[in-house]
Formats: sequence, C-alpha cells, structure tokens
Amino acid sequence: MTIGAALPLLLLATSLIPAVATFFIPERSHRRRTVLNVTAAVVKVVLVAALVAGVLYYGLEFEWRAAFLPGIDLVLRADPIPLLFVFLSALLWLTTTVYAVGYLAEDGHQSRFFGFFGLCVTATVGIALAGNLVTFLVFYELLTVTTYPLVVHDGTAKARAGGRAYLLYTLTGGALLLLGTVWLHALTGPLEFGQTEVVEALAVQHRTTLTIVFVILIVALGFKAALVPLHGWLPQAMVAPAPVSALLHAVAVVKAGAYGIVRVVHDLYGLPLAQDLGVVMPLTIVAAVTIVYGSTRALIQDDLKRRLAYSTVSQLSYIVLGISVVSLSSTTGGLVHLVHQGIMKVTLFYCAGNLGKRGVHRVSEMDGIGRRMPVTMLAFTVAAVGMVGIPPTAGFVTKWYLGLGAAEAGQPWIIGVLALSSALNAAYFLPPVARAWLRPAPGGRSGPAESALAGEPGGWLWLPPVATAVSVLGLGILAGAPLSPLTWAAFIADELMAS
Amino acid sequence: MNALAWLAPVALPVTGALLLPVVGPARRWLLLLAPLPALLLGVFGAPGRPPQLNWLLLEATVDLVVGSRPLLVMTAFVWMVAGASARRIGDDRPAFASLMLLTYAGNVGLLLAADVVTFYVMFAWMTFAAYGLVVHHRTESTRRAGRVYVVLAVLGEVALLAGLLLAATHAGTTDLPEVAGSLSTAPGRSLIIGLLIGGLGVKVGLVPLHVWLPLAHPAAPVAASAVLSGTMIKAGLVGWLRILPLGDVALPGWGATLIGLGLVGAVLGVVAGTLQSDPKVLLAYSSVSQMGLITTAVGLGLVLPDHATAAVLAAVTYAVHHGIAKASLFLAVGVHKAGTRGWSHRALFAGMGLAALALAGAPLTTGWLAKQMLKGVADALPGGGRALTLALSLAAAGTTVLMIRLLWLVREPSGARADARSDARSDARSDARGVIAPWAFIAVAVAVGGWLLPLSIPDAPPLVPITTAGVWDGLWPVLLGLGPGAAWLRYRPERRLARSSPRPAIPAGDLLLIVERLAPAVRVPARWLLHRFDALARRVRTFQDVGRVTVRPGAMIDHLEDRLTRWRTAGALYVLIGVAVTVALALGTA
Amino acid sequence: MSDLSLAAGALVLVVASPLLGAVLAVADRGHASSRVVALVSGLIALSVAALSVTVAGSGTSVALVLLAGRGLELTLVADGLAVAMVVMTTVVAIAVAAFATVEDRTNPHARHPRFWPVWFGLWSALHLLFLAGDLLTAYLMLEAIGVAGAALVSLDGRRHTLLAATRYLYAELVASMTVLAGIALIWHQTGSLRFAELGPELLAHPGGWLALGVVTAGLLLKVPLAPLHLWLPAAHAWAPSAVSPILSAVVVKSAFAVLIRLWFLASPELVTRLGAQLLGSLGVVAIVWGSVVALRSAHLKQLIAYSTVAQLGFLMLLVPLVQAGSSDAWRGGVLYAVAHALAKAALLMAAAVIAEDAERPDVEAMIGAVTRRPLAVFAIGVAALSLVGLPPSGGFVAKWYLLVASLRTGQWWWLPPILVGSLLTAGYLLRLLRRAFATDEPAISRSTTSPVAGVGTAPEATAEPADLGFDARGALALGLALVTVVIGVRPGALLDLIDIGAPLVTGGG
Repeated sequence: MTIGAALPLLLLATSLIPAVATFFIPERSHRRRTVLNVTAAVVKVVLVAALVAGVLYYGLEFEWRAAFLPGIDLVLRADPIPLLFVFLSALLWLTTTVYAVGYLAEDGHQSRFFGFFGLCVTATVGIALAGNLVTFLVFYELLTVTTYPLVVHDGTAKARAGGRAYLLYTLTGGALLLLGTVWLHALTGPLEFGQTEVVEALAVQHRTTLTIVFVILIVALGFKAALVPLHGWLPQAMVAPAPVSALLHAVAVVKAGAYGIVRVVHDLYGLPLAQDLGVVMPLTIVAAVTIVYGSTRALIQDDLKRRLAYSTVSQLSYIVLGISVVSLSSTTGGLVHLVHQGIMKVTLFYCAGNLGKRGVHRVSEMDGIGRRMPVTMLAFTVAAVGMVGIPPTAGFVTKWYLGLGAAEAGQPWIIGVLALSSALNAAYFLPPVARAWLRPAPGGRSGPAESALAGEPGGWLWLPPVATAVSVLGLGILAGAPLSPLTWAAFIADELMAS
Repeated sequence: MNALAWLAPVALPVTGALLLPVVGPARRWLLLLAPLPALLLGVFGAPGRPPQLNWLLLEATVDLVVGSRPLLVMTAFVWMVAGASARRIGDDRPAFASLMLLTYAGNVGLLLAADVVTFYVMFAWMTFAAYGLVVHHRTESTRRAGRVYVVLAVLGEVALLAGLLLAATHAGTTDLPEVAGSLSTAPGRSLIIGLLIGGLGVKVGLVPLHVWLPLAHPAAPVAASAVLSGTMIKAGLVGWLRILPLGDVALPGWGATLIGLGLVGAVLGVVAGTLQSDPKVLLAYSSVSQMGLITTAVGLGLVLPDHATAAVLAAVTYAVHHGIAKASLFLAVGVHKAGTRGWSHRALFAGMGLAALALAGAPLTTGWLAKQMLKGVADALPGGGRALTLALSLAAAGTTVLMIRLLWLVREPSGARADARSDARSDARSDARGVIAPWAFIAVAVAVGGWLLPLSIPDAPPLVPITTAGVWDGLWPVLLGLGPGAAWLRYRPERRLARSSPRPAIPAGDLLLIVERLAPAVRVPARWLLHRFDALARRVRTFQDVGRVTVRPGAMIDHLEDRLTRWRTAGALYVLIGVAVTVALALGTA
Repeated sequence: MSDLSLAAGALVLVVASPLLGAVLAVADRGHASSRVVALVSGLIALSVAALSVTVAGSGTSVALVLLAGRGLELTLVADGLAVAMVVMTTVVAIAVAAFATVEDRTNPHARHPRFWPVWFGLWSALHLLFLAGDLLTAYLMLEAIGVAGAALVSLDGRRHTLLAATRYLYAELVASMTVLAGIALIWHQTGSLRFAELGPELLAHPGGWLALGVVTAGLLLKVPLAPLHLWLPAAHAWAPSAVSPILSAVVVKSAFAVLIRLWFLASPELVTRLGAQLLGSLGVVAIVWGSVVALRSAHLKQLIAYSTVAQLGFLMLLVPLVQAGSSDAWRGGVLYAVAHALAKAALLMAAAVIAEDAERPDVEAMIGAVTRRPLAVFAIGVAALSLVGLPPSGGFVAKWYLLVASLRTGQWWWLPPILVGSLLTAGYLLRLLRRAFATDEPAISRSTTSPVAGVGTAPEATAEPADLGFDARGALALGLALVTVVIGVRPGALLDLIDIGAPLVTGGG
C-alpha cells in the first residue's frame, strides 16, 4: 500500500487500536492507560501535521478506498476541508484526553470510558476524511453509537435520560440521513464528494426530487448540528462528564453535523445548484433563527453547563450561516468557525468542569471564584470574551468575516442578527465573568489565595484550558499568519467559490 | 528596525503586562517606560514608510496621519505621567498595573491603526481592558459604574462594528483612508454614519450616551481617571476624524445634529457638574462639557467640507489641550484627596488654578488657542455663525463657573480630612503620595505643552495671531463667569438643595437615573416572559417522547395482544389471511 | 466435473454430519461430551465450508438427486439462498453449541439427556430443509423442525414451558396440515413436487393460485407473520437459554426460505402484485405491532421474542419488492435474514447470561449489567447495531438494499415502515442498554450536584467485575455479534453468493 493510501488508514488506526486495547487494560493500572492514550493522541497530531504538510506543501494525494457495497466504495480522502476538521479534532482530542485523565482520576470505569472515547475520535476522523456520502454515513452513525456510553457514563437517572434523548434525536437524524443517501444514490449511482457536476446534471429532470433530498439531508444533519427545533438533545446531554461535553460540543458530535452540512452544500450539491434550487435562503434563515433562539434561551439558564449548551446551539449556526450565505468572506467565516468555535467552547467546558470539581455548577454560585481559581477563570474569561466576539480573539475573526460576507452578499440584515447575537452573548457571558472577579466570595474568602494555584485542581485539569485559551488569543492575534486556520479557510473558500 | 519602531509602542506594554507578575521590583519602571516608544515615534516622526504586518490580526497596517500625531504625543505623555503616578498601585497590585499597560496598548494602537480592523480591534481592546480599571475598587458603586460602562461599551462596539463592516464592504478594502473616502458614496450612507457616530459617540460622551462617564471616571483610581478622561475619551474622536467623510461631502443634517448635541453636552456638563460635591465627578462632567465643544468642531467639519481641515485641526488642538489639562486636574484632585498641607497645598491650588484657566479658555492659555481655532471655523458658517460663536463663549463662561466651583471644593488643605475615609479613599491616598511629582510635571505642561504640540503638525496653519480682539474674546467670558461664580460662593445654593435632598440636585449620571428608574418596568416583564418561554420550551420535548408516546396507550395494547394470542382470534385471522392471500393470488395480475 | 462431485459429496456431508452428531450423542447417553460436540461441529463446519466455497467458486447452483424413481426422489439444490441459509445455520448453531457446552461445564447435570440428540437432529433437519429441491422434502423437514423445536422448548418440563411447547406444537400442526393440503393440490395439479418443475404446470392449471395460496397461508403461520404470532413469544421466551437462540435466529427462517423459494424460484409466474403487496403490508403490521409490544414487555426474553416478530416483518418486505422485479430486494431480504440470525442469537445468548446472574427474568435484570457482564452488554450493543441497521453491520447493508429497491421500483410507501421500524427497534433495545449503564436503582436518581461535578461514582465502580472471571458465554455472544460487523464491512462475498440462482429479474425500474 502506498503512503498516500496508508496515512488515512493510519490516522484511523492511531485511535482505533489504542481504543480497543484500552478496553482490555485492567481498571486499576492508571499509568498504562494514560500513557497509551496520551501517546496515541500525540502520534495522531504528528500524523495530521504530516498530512497537512503533505497536502499543502508537497501537493500529495492522500486517498484510501476499499470496495464496500457493489459499486460503492469506502473512501477516505484528505481534501483541504477535511484537513481543517481532522486538524481540529486531533488537537482537541489531545487536550481533552489530558483533561479527561485528570478529570476522571478518582472515577470508575476508566478503561470503558477511554475505550469509547477513542472509538469516538476514530469515528470523527472517519467523518472528516470521508470521501463520499456513504462513508460519511457509516462513520456518522458509528459516532452516534460510540458516544452513547460516554453520555450515560455517570449512570445516574439524569445521565440516562440525557443519553436517551441523545440517541432518539441522533438516530432519527441518522435514519433520515440514510434515506437521503439512498435516495441520492438511487438517482445518481456511485457518487463522491466534489463531483457536484454529477448532481447538477440531474437537476434538469429531477429538480423536485433533488430539492426534497437536499431538505432531507440538511434536516438529518440538523439533528446533530442542533438546528432549532432539532436541538433538544444538546441541553439534556450536558449532564455528561465535562470531557464528554467537550467532545459533544466542540470536538466531535455537533461538529460532525455542521461539517456534514458544509459538505452537502459545497461538495455534493455545490452552492450554485443549491442556490438554483432555492434551498439556501431558507437554510440561512433557519441558521439565523437558531442563533437568536439559542442565545435567548442561554440568557436565563442558571446552570452553567446548560447555559454553555445553549450557547453552542447558537454558535454552531454561525457555521451554517456562513456557508449558506453566498460570498467569499462568509464562507471563510463559516469554515474558520469550525475551528474557532471548537477551541473556544472546549475551553469553556474545561473550565466548567474545573468549577464543578470545586462544587460550583451554577452561575449564581460563581461569586468571587476568580480569586480562588485565577487560572481557570482567566481561561474562562478569555474564551467567554471570544464567544462574544470581542477582539483580539478568534471569535472576533469569525464575526468579522461573517459580517463582511453578509454585506458582500447584499444581505445586511444578517449583520443585524450578528449584532443582536453578540449583544445577547455579552449579556449571558459577561455577568458570570464579572461575578467571578468582582463579587466577594460567599464564604467571605475574597482575599487572594496564598498561592495562585491553591484553589486550582491538578495540573492535568488546568493545563488544557490554559493551552486552549492561549490559542483562542493566538488565533485572533495571528489570524493573518501563514497556516493559521483563517488563511486556510480563506484558501478553501477561494477554491469553492472559484468552482 | 522600521517595523520595530512601529510595533514597539504596542508590543512593549503588552509584553510588559504579561511579564509583570514575574519582573518584581522592576515593575515600577515598566509603567513609566511603556509609553516611551510611542512618544519617540510621535516626536521624531515615523522612520520610513509603515510596514505591512500581514501576519498580525487581519493583515494589520499602521500609519501616522496628520491629525493623530499630536494626539499620539499627548497620549503617550499623559500615560507616562499617569503611569508614574500609578507606580505605587502597580507595586502592590500587579493586576492593576498590567491592566493599565494593556489599556495603554489599545489606546496607542488605535492611534496608529491604518485599517478599520486594526482600529476596531484596538478600540475594543482598550475599552474592555479599561473596564478592569473602572471596577478596580470592587465596591458596590464601582460595580454599578462598571455595569453601566460595559453595557454601553458593548452596545457601542456592536454599532461601531456594524458600521465599519458596511463601510468596508462598500469600499472593498479595509484601508482606513480609502474607507473614509468611499463612505460619501456608500449606499445607506446615513445608516452607516449613524452607526459610526453612535458607536464612537459612546466613548466621546456624546449626549445622551454620556451617562457612563460621570460614574466610571470617578470610580477608577486617580491614575486611571486621568487617562480615562484625558486620553481614552479621545479615542472616539479619533475614530470620527478618521472615518467620517470630512471634507468629501457636506452633511448638514449630521453636522447640525453633532453641533446641537455638542452644545447640549457643553451646557449639561456645566450645570450638572456645578451641583456636584465630589471633585472627581465634577471633573467628569467638565469632560462631558469639553467633549461637547470638540463635538461641535466635528459637526462644523461635516457642515462645511471646505473648512474640514481647519475643523479637524481645531478638534485635535482642543483634544490635546483638554487631555493635558484634564489629566493634570484629576491627578491634582488625587493629591488633594491624599492630603495636602501648607506650601504643597498652595502649589497644588495654584497649579489647579492654571489648569482651570486653561480649560476656561483664558487668554494665552492652550484653551484660548483651541477655542480661537474653533471660533475661526465657526465664523465660516453662513451668516458668520454669530450664534454659535456666542454659544461657545457662553460655554466658556460656564466652564469658568464650573472651575470656580472645583477650586472651591479643594480650597482648604485636606491633610486633616484624609484620614477618616473609606477604603477607596485610603486607596486614593496611597496612590496619591506618588502622584505629586508627576503632577508637578504635567502642571507645567499645561502652561506650555499645548502651544508646542500643534507645531508637530507639518502643514499647520500659522497659530492664531495674538490680537487684542482675540484676547478680549477669550477674556470676557471668563470675567462673565466670575460674576455668577462669585455669587455662587456668596449664596451657596447647592447647600439649600442639599438640605432638601441628601443627594446633589442632579446626581451623577443624570439621565441614567431616569433609565434606571424605568428599567424594572422593562426588565421584570422581559425576565418573566423569558422564563415562561423557557418553561414552555422545556415542556415541548419534540423527539425524545416518541418512545413514551407509543407506549402510552399501554393497557389497550396489552389487551389487544392478549386477544391476538388466543386461539379463537388467531384462528379467525388465520383463515381470513389465508383466504385473502389466495384471493389476491387469484385476482391480481403479475 | 471433479469439483461438481466434490460439491455433491459436500452436500451429502452437510446433511449427514449433524445426524452423525445425533447418533454419537445418543451413544453418549445424551451427555454429549464437549469433545463430541466440538468434533461434530468441526466436521459440519468443514463440509459447509467446502460446499459454500465450491458453489461460490463455480458461481452456479449445484443440484443432486438421490433415490431417483417413482417421483418421490429426494432432490438437493445448493443455490445462493440455500447455501447462505446453511452457512447462517452452521455459524449460529456452532456458537450456540459452544454456549451450551460452557453451560454444561459450569453445572454438568443440568442438561436434559435428550437435548443433544434432538439438537443435532434439528440441525440436520434445518440443513436439509434449506437444501431441499422439492416440496415434499421441504414439508417433511418443516415437520421435523417443528417437532424438534417444540421438544427442545419443553425439555426442562416445567409447567409454563410445557404450555408454551404445546401451543407451539399445535400451531405447527395446524400449519402443517394446511401446507400438506396445499401440497396435495399441487401434486394433483402438476404431478411433480420439484421446485424446478412446478411453475409452468401450476400456471397452466386453472386452480394453481388456490394451491399456492393454501401453502402460503400455512407457511405464514409457521414463520410466523404477525398477527399469526400467537405461539412464538411464549415458546421463544420460555425456551432454555441454549435453545431460544437457535429458534429465534434460524428456525423462524425455515418457513420463510420455503416461502420465497416457492414464490419466486418455483412459480414466479403465479405471484401477483396484489398478493405480494398484501404480504408486504402484513409485514408492516408485524413490524409495527411487534415493536410496539416489545416497547412494553417487561420480560427480558419476551421483549426479544417480540423483536423477532417485528424483524420477520422486515423480511416480508422482500416479497413485494422482488415481485416488482428488483434484484436488490432479493439481496437485501436474504442478507437481512442472515444478519438478523446472527444478531438475534447473540442478543439472546447475552441476555441469558445477564438474566442468569441477576437471577431475575425481567428487563430490570439489565440494571448495572455493564459492570458485571461487560462482554455480554457489549454483545447486546453490537447486536443492536445490526438489528437497528446502523453501519457497519449486515443489518445496515440489508436495509440499504431494501431502501434502494423500494426507491428503484417506485414503491416509496415501504420507506416509512423501514425507517420508523428501525427507530422503534432502537427504542426497545435502548430499554435494555440504558438500564445496563445504570449505577443507581431507577427509583433513586442520584442528584448530579455531587462534589465531583456530577460524576456519580457508583459504589461498585471501583470494584472490578473480575471476580466473575472470564465470561466465556458473553465472549461467544460478542463474537457472534461481531460477525455481523464483519459482514457489514465486507459484504461483497456474501452478496455474490446470494446472487447465485437468484430469481431471474431485471435490475429494477
């Protein structure tokens, strides 16, 4: 097998093999499990780096395919868009693994946890690299299934209810996705991402059918992407342990949905055709509604993680909004938000987890926590500021491009939506920050802790948020730097718009 | 080297802020040194053409245009002084010092920014870093100030961003001059201009967006107040001067609005300020009033495109003058609060008197110079703009009254008073000991600095000739102001007012109180609605009830299944189905 | 020629070797030692492998006529359908046999002496049925299977199992009589019972539809297709843990195989669209009803039994689609039968393990099972994957082809049942899985505001399930379930096999 075919498989293997192995590691041997998982994560990052270098600098083709159904192959291909997603998930997997090790230190069932965790990432990589809709579907469902044990990991009644909601929503979405996929294949025969011309050719006589299929596909993906009104599972699934929330909200699950929408719109139908079918504008509107709805709901959630969950609902639709508006800048903004949202939200959930470790679960309990957990709260502040879109953070870059794109596309009303959303974001993200830093702690322990890290949980727990928070700033300040997600997204958007 | 010269003004303070926790005692010098690069850049001008910093932000660009150069020097200078006076705070509170440095970085950055993105980034950066300065004391009042500040700031940012986006899109570039140039032809121009004026107006303290100012400026520690009122308040002005289509097109509507609001601000500042008993609040209101006058200058620039340059020049000069004077006054108040006695008090009083005269525009002060330039532009108005000139003079008279009131408040040595005070005061006390020296420095600058700075403008028109008419023009308002001022000192009306109600007749944040009074009427129902909505949305569980729904009519299902598994039912069905299949096979067609 | 004779030999051996097992078991006085079971199973596996390899290799079906003469000869036909079914039977049966031997090792004298002989008898009957080339053989084998099945159910002789067995037996008898009547009609009309020769004569004869209809009715009761499922839930739910897998997985497919063989391979000309649609809609009824009852049933194995009822409904969707001329549907249907067999057997084995050490038969036995029996729970999960039709699994591929078929033939009305049916399947299997992860009694819901960020560390969390030792039966179940995943990843070979001798139909509309 050539290196070009081997690397995608290796990317899968680097998380699949450790995952399977982890299941067989006895519960008590923490070190072995930790070493295995962290090493695997590091190796994956290295491989992804190699992949990126290979594609962007040496222009290599990375593709692996194997016969699946007669006439339909399983295809893994490293195109620019997939790279963006793989890059994100690999990096965040590393940080989240580190975080999870610290988070679950006193907890049971770790082998099970990390096993399924690895499987999730495997599925995510598969989703990212999927070269056609069927491959995408296969890994998409795999992700659904492997995430469930993580969501219900606590095993409490609440956790199980959350898991139940999660499965029923996502499986419904999966069923629809299957329907859409089958239908499309029944029309076109074998079909791969990027072959928009094949679908366009059909548009002549199958116009209505294609429209219906498009709607089915988007709705199907909308379940995971938490488009209103298909978002109900997300706030319920937040009962899961913090690393899992990070996985759900930033690394894998919701991302898979949004990413799927990106691919359907751009690599399957192609924006021109979608526009021609008149399905883009509705998508934009749905996204806009979701953005406002999510923020509005988040406003009054006292439970911190619940508030974050609704903010995810809102933030994800920035991506959908971006790619559904027909202009270079907005596409760039949407694509780059794939990365930015992930990193910002993962930071917030790490911090929420750390606060939880100190018994702080509600916004109303955050008074003065900044003095006790300065590092965590600094990270939280940076990420929150990023979410609001205040410069110089990653969030601002996204907002700028989305706004610019909206104006370019002659839809200034979207700027209004963005403005409103930013105001709402500020309204539900800044108060917790202010409380944490300014209010005296309820216990009267408002004085600065004797050592900066006295109130902090262990290094495994505060290093990841710090790392991600720093990158939130870095992605904003060095947005123009070569190989920054922004330049990357811009490059992709150029290609997409050129075609 | 070149790039470094451009980057250092921002990079140095930022690195300083990051290193602050580790550098230890060297800290005290950081605040003093950070503004140095900017000062050098401003004084000696830019080495070579500005670099393209493609890797920074969204391909940041920098430049140093005519107007912003004196402002840069002034800003750096004031920050240096404030920094020097804040070193004490810097010592025991690294957080405060690093916030000062970050805020300063933003403040200088927005002066150097040459593209809308960088400008916006720096602007917002400064705004939100300054929030930390405002709420520094962590008392309930500062929290309130902070709340108001941040709310208006966010709204301002949002409006500004929207305006910039629309403008930049039309221009097809983010380059500031080009954006400004193409703004006059942009579709939906008035919307864009409205957003920009509003968004930046928050920072300028444009009525009615000024309400945060009398709360926030006094709330901060003295050093921070000085820069807030001295330099940061000018950021909005810089934005206006750089983005509004000054000189390209006549916008009488907007111009008139700005002039009107400016004058209202000037009057409101005087009236509300005079009734204050806390000198810092009084100074904040004076800032509102002075910025109102500067706003009129910008308004004139919009009304009279031909005289735009002169208007800009007037505005810049005024900004420089006010920056220095106001900063010196805030620091002086700080010194006074810390406690003065004997000669130090006299020196302080004299210095404040000088600054007060400057603000009032007494002849041959920088204030006079600025006002003369402003009036020069006003004369160009159709009909000689008599009314406006008069209004400006009256405003000067008002300022005189305000300043008399200020001097009255600090008339006696505070050494005795300073002890029995709240934390905030003792804070102020601790910082102020370090303030005296820097203050003396700036007090001198008040006298001369203002005259030097306009010279740093290459193509500056010759400074206003010193004629008797001009002198008189500057003098009579002051004299006019002395009258009511004296009367005031005689009758002290605010005492009676104070007797009728404990708080000043117009409490700090004037209009805000009305808003706050009305706020519950909006907030309560809104919250209620949101909660109802939330509860409703929680009840409507679209999908995860599918399972339950199917199971709900359970008894019926059990019963039916029970029937189905009985022989009689099953038998009947068996026959039925058998017949049906047979018939179907018989009748149907292949 | 040589490989043909090899195929013939394999054919005979496939049918004979289980009988050998039966004989050895009897000789062993019923307590077939694990060695005997292993030996015979190995032999069967070899022969089946040989058969399937030759057939798949040659790409054509192999026919063999024994005891020729007087029309009552025994015909064996190894086409795609037959071989696929035989392979399925063997894989499941070997797994279950291993499962049973493990049970025997843990408590040696629990097994009834008559179990192993009957077991091997059933096995060979199944093989013969699937390979049967004529209706009479098929009928006799259906009889044998019914009797053997009922016998296995009733072996432990407790009251409710006896009741279940008798009910099962009666149903079988009624069905058999109907089928026999139909066969008599056919014999009367055509003078031949060979599937290969039926078609034209039946078509020629005016009453052909009657014969076909009668036989079909009988077969529907044997399958059984809801609402004629009265005997299945009790029998499958109360059967011993080593028996219900083979019943639910393989035995139910026997009548189904005969049905589709009769309809589409023997006399496709007689099959009418109306009839096909009728069976299809009965299938939908089965899907919905089976799932709904499964969503309610409190008894663990009963829930799984009703799931079988529902899944058989899915199989029936093959009929209208193949009738409309879709080869995809044939692939999908037959593959569905195989995938379901593997998954269902795994499900029942795992459920048996869990119910046993929870010492309760209802679904609550699942509570906390993941800590006690991780392998078994994992097996249930993978089996669920295939039953719901999630990739990568045989169930997914099968559903894929059924969906493609209904779209290509324009019979879009089968789409909702398939999709909704899958969701309902997920619904009732989720009832098992979510309990498996429970760390607290469902009554008490631990408040998630515990000092450790709502991570309700279960009391038994730190205690490892090691004390139960290696869960061999769970491992078996898991292995069986994983076979479906293998099929799901590389379905190519199996699909090619199924295509051999498939009804000659066009690619579909």
